[in-house]
Amino acid sequence: MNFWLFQALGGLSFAMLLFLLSAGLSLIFGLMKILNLAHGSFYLLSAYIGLSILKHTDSFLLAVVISFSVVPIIGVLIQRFFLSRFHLMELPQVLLTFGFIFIIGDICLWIWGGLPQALPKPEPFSHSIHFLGLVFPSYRILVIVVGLLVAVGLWLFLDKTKVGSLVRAGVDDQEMARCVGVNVKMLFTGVFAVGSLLAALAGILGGPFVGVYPGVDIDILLFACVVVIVGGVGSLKGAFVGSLVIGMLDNFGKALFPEMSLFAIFLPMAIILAVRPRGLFGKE
Amino acid sequence: MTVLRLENLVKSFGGIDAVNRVSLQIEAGDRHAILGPNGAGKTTLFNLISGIYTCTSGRITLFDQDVSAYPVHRRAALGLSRTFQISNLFFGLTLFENILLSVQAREACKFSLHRRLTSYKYLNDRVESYLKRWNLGNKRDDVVANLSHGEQRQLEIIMALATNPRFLLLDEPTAGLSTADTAMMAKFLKEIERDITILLIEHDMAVAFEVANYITVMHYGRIIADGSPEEIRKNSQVLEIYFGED
Amino acid sequence: MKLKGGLPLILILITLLLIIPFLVSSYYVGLMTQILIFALFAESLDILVGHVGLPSLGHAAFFGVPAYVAALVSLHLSNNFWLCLLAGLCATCIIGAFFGLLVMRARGAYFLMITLALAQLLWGLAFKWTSVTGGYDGISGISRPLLGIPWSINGTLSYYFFVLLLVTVASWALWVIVKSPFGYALKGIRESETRMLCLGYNVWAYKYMAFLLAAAFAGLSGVLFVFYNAFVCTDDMGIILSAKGLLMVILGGAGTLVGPILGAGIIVFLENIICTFTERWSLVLGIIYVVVILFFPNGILGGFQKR
Repeated sequence: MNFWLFQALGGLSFAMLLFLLSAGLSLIFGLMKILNLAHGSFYLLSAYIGLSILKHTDSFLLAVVISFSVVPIIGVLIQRFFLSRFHLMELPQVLLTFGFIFIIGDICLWIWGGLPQALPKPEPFSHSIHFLGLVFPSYRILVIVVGLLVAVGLWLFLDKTKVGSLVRAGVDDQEMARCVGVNVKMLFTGVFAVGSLLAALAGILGGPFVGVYPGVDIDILLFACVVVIVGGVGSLKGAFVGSLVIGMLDNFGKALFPEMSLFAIFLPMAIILAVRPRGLFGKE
Repeated sequence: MTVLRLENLVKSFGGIDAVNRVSLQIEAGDRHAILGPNGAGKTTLFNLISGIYTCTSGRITLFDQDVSAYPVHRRAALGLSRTFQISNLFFGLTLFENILLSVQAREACKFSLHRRLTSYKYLNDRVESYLKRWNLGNKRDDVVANLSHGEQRQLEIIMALATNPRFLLLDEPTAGLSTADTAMMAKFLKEIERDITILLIEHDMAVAFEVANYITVMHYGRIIADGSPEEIRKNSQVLEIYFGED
Repeated sequence: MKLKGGLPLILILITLLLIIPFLVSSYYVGLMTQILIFALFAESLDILVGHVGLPSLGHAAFFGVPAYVAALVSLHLSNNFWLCLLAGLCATCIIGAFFGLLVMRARGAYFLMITLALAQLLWGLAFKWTSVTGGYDGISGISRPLLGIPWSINGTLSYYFFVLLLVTVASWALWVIVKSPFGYALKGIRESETRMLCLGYNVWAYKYMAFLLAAAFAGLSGVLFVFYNAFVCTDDMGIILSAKGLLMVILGGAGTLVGPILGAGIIVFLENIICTFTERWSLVLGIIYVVVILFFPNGILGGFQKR
């Protein structure tokens, strides 16, 4: 019993991390038709920046502030100066983001070297706590709480605010949104910035337990893609449910069948593609 | 024989019934026109008949076969051919290649991997004959994206005809054409062989009345009138839709 | 591209390919062998990207898996090239058949994402299944196979000519396929699937077949590679290789079949040169990517550009 609870909590914390990443990826794809493959690179960059700040200042707060500034700025620059030249053209945009995977990834390798590292946990959360009869790292609980808060926040934003309804409208029908006078350029840049911010958050939060190493950008991108495939493009609910499914399955998979754990995430993806290609909550 | 039978066809998108309990029957050799203001559901009806949309309920019978569940290409293989309101051509390919793909569509060789397409003389000859008949021979190697709008509309029709269809769906064949080209198109439509049945959507009422021997009028997804051109001309509901609401 | 006009050029090219190896050092012969292998890889990807219009970021799976299988067969079962090739092609076709079923309903960037995910999962499997694949260390010590005829391909020069022969035959086969009714249908599908459906083509069947063909030809290039390299590791089926392949196709000109060959030559050559004086090849590759997409999306030979 304890084993299952422990794994479930671990899976939930990983799921929340995936949610932060895939929510941005899914909404950006749904609204702007940009499959931002560099999303994993934002995670990577944020984690490395956090690492450096923490090494030099010991302040988790400062690490958060700096990476929350740098990463979205880079994201917006990429979107404004490169991606927007191919407005709504799927393929050139995704290939451009792909080029940036190499650029950002190699620059990080250059600056921070090739050794796998992990961010130190912030002081208040570096111990385990006794919870429901288990000993569980409190940091993981923090990740779960932050993830849930962001999920609720995003849902409220999309559902209850005017800007949120513009985003939802844009995801549903580009042309109509533009006809109704929505400033598409600003909206796009805004959504991309928010997406990058979420990826930066994922990097800082994930740094301590997923770690950061050359290649984590691709590894985490893979998970985010699988979540979007399973959950459906452009859907926040899809990103949430998809993250839960994949996060849990991956965790249990690693615990029960370590060498074959990838099948745990391959299976739901294959089933969805075969039976419901647009994902659980996708459009079209 | 009955070429097409639609029984209580319904197509819903979310809460809206784009096509609402439409029933229709078309006999071999008919020239049947569908009229109606924008949004009446005409193109949706075409998409249902050709199989691009699946019907929410109702039945479609083509050449005495229930095709309601058939995919698009299977319906086409029965002898159904269509044009599109917005030209749906192979814009990156040449005029010759466009017609070639059309001509090859119902031939067994279309799956062949090992012989060059240009070596099939009979296919090439058929393409050349179409080019000649429509006076487009000098444009054969032009990329379709570079052709004029009128030429592209002509190609739309050629593509549909080149598969030797038995039943032709024409979606606004005169859309965007000049007066002269429209008259030519109307003349051409009247000259199509009688063994090809035609169902056409037209906005240009004059062309519809000239070409068709039977007219159906749709409004908000429903059929509100059908009959011969004379009957439709006198129908008060139709007059109100087209002239009363202005 | 009309063959007649290009015939003298092709003859010149083949002559050069036959003569140059005798004039340069074995390092360059090895480089030319690599270029030929990746030219075939890029051509096979062009079937999907340039002809059907399906951008795949997972093509390296069809390169790496047959490479691993051929390596394993040659080490444990038989050193006969044709047997290893057969085993590799079977493996690649099985994977292609299975993946094909999953991806066939996707298009554009969504297709790209799915192929990426599928290939990466396979990569992860290769990475973790250390007992079979050697994991990160890969499989080494693969010796040149026997052909079953009195021609030894052990030497750099002899293997080069063997690869040249097979790649030429395979390229010619691809050319025939592209110019056949089937090949033209693929182009039609790229331009407008709906139109093709309404004309009566079973678009799904064509796409699936194209997928299998692309996989098979990539498989051949993978097997040729593993016997050239004497070593195979997860790098040979990862996303970087898929990305390089895609860049080769775009740089040379998607849909032209000859363009990707040129693209392969440029990328392999650049990589080898740049890697001799800097570790930052990845950064350069990324920059080339961005520059090509921004300024030469139709490639050097002016292929088509899908929106």
